[in-house]
Amino acid sequence: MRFHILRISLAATLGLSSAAWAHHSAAMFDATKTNTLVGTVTQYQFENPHAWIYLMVVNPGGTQKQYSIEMTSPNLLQRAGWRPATLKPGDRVTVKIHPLHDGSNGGSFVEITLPDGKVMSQQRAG
Amino acid sequence: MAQELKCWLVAAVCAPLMAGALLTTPARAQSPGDPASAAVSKPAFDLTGTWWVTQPEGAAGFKPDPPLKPEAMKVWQEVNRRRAAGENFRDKSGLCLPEGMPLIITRVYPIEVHQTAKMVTIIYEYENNVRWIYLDGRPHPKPEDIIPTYMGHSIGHWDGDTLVVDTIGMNTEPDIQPGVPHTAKLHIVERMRLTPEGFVDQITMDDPSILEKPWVTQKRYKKSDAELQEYHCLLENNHFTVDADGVLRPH
Repeated sequence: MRFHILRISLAATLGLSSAAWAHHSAAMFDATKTNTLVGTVTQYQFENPHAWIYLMVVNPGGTQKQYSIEMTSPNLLQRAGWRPATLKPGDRVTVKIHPLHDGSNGGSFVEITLPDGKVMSQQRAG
Repeated sequence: MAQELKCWLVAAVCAPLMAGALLTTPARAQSPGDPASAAVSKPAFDLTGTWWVTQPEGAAGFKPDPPLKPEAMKVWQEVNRRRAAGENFRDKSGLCLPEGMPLIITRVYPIEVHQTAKMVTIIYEYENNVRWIYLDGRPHPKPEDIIPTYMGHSIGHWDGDTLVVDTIGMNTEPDIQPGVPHTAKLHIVERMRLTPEGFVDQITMDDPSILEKPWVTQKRYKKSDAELQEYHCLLENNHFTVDADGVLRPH
């Protein structure tokens, strides 16, 4: 009951589309929606072609769902300040995603709030 | 331009034509007895350095839309329709297959250019691709000698303030952009110019089997301080599979 999902729909206003970051099409993601997930990191894979965050989210009813969140490549992420140790299992974080169209538990990474309150995106500085 | 567009047909005729064009340039480096160096001309600029393709022209495809023949248009419309419906349809890049020319140009990753009098080498961070553009005056291989490759065979020459690059011999596995296939007749002429903002690559693609007329597009690059790093698209790290209907799905 400590964790919950906030579903917020808003127009994607990022300067770069996820198509620009991915080696594959972004058609599977709904870029018109941004959902906010609060949960615990179970895995953080920092590898090409894409980094992934696996996030365990506890619904208000107590059931758990693991979300697979796709990021861009480590090459671009490290230019935005990400490192292999930026996340570790057990970290409690808030992650915004563009959800998968098919409704399954996953999406394209938009932004994260780390345990220390720092907010990170995949935007390259400069 | 018309002269360049015919080059893929008659590579043997093309080289003298290009050499003729080069006679108008004021200075050329020549080594007597080395036929290949006869067409080496004075470069108008040096692209050596790191560049990054700019948005929004850089992402995933080319603008404006291609002037497709009716049959090819049906394929493209189907891809657009299914992607609008949320399917990663006809997504070969998503399976870690090489992009090749010209799709590699649309990847929004840094490139590193090394230019000498006889060669421009472009290293693409995206999947560690390399492209060699020969400036030494050699012609394309004869049609019967062409071994299709992802990057094709590129030769370049200087036309005043412009580097003209002619590419043929691209294999037909990758689409030009998703949903726009091509044949072995694909011929690309690029006109690269240096501007105060960066460098501009005007790209003219022709494939009479697919296109009603040559498809003229453009990409712009800005100088970057990025240092290129290794990028392999490893299938074992790829969380996607393609289903029987040709749709890429996460797993």
